[in-house]
Amino acid sequence: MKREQVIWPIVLISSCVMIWVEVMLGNTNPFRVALTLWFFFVCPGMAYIQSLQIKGLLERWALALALSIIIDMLVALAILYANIWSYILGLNIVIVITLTGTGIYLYRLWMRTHQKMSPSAEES
Amino acid sequence: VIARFRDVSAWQWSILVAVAACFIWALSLGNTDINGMTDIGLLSVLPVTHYLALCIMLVTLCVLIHRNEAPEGVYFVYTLIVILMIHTLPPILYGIPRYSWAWKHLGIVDYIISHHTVNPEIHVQNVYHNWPGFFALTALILEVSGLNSPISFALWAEVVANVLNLLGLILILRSLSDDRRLIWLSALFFSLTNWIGQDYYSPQAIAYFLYLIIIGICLRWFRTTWTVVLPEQSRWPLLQRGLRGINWLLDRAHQTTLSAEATNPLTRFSLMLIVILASVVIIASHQLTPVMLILSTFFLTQFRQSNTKQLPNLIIIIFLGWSLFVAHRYIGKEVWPLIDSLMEISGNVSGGFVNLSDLSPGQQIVAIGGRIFTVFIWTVALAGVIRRIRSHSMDMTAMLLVLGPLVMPIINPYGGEILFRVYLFTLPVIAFLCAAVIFPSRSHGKALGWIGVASMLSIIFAASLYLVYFGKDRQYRFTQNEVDGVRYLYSVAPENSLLVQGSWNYPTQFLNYDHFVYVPITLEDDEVHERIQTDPEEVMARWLSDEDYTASYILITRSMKIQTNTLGELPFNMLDNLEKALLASDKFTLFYENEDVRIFILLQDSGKAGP
Repeated sequence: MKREQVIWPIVLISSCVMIWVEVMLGNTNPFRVALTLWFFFVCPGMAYIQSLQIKGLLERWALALALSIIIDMLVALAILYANIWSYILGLNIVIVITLTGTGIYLYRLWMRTHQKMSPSAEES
Repeated sequence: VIARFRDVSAWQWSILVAVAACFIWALSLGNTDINGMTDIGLLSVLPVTHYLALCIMLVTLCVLIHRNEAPEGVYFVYTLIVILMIHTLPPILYGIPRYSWAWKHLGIVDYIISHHTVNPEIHVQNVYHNWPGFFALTALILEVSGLNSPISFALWAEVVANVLNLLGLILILRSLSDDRRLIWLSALFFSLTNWIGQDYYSPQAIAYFLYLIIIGICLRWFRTTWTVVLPEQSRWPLLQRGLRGINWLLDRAHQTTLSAEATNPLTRFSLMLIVILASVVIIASHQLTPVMLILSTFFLTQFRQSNTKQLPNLIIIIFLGWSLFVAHRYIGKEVWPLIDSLMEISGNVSGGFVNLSDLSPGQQIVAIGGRIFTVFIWTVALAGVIRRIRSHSMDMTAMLLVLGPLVMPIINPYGGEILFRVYLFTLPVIAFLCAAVIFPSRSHGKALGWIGVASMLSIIFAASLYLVYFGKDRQYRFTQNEVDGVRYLYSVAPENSLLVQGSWNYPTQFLNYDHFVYVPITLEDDEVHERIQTDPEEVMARWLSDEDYTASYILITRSMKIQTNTLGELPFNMLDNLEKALLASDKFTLFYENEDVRIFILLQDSGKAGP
């Protein structure tokens, strides 16, 4: 497992933890605003785009931003139309989605590394 | 030392140039007095240093693109800086979101946060309650951020939208050409010709970005090539000859078409899922963008530019599903006007033009400038088509992406805005074709003279953008006083209040917007305007004494007066005269007053109106 391959999972998991702590503590400061924008516009999409075979940095960012907006909006619409509007619920759902994407990426990374290291892979 | 400096390649010098340009740009902001704006808008008050900084950036970027040596990141950062130099002007200089229609969008977010739901049958702005995706998204982010109001989101929305559009655009451009010079000049031209003003805080701004992403994915990862199969029997020689002709054209088109980017099945599946989910989100947010999306994907798939065959059908099904099961209350009322406007092309198109004779001299320049600018851009794009064909490049995909939006005027006038929307949705391709004038193929555009042509076009586009995009800012810019006054009214007025207002042009409906019934004087007919001018006290007293309302107010603001005078929506100075008459009247009293806002109530109602 290369170091650059685990940077994004670390960033994503830290972002999830920090936003959750900030909101639960009820802080109102510019850091919370910046963190919220970062989390909602980048994290959910980037968690999944990392697993895909996309060439080009700009392409990855464009798709990650788009997917983040899509996920956030679908979550917001779901809690709105289900008449269970609560921003904490919405945040928790987006956090779960982000962590799931990060988990999938880490699992695939682990599988790839494991396959490379196994003797059968070396033989083949 | 000199020899060392000579070794430094051109793009490394460009970093210093960019820093210098940014410094000059930042200094120019301090010398801008927005209160001195004339009726040609922001253009009239920006100092020469601002234009100098922008020109330095544009010319340097054109040189960099022409030399084609710099890493891709340099082109991106340069284009980004140009976008920031232009689009951060309103948030930095005004500090308050411009456009009254951005403010009414804030009201829907306020409604969702207050009520935790939407009301598709609400008496005012019900369209947004039927397509609430964007507002639900903002409400969620706003509450998590801990901010009290989304005003700061709206303030910076134009900047965010333009940066997002750049990313979406790159996705499309890289599927149209692999010539870096053509791609980045197109991106620059797109940023300089997007004068429509649909990048403000609105559902369509996000929907447009997702539209670019969908088209980009379809062309980048689902590209296909196509030839017509010729019938074996030559029973119909004419048909066979026709098909052979089509094959020849397709063959020539495919010679310059990039093939789909290779990727694994999981990525292809995931990208298709993104396309479908993005379509759902667009459909849940905006009414027009899904139609544009259906048309564009239809043409791309029918002419086999993308192998997403069932995508248009799927989008139609989701679109109909939303219209019939979620937005049916709104659609039920609007379906007949929609059918009436079908095929009324001239009516649909002409609705978008203002009557020049009504406008102030400055606004006439802005309106005429917009028309000339548009014709100029399309003419340059046409020259680009000719240059591409002469260099054996047939941009079939690009042509199809123009064709889709061009069908729209047949279908709907979209509140008189359809021509502007057609322009916006064709712009990625139009910008590409404009850049193709300079770089029609890899072997063209290498002479130094082309730097001059690219720079000149960039500067002309930028100048036109400043005239048209910022040309109405004298009336579309609001002051903090206006926001404070209106916020006070919206906070204290009881539910079911009557609000007689000079026009819609003020920071409108951003708080408790459903508490009011709105009567803008500009929407009354000429006869009523005449009556108000003859006896303002009597007419207003009659309107405000209507027992159906809990309380009644007259609102007159600075931006209403500017707008009605410059656009000729009311007889000249009518709102000033009305204000003077109400101040002198013993029937009315001032409910609230600051430098830019006056709110009147009937003296007899002063107990009902609030604190």
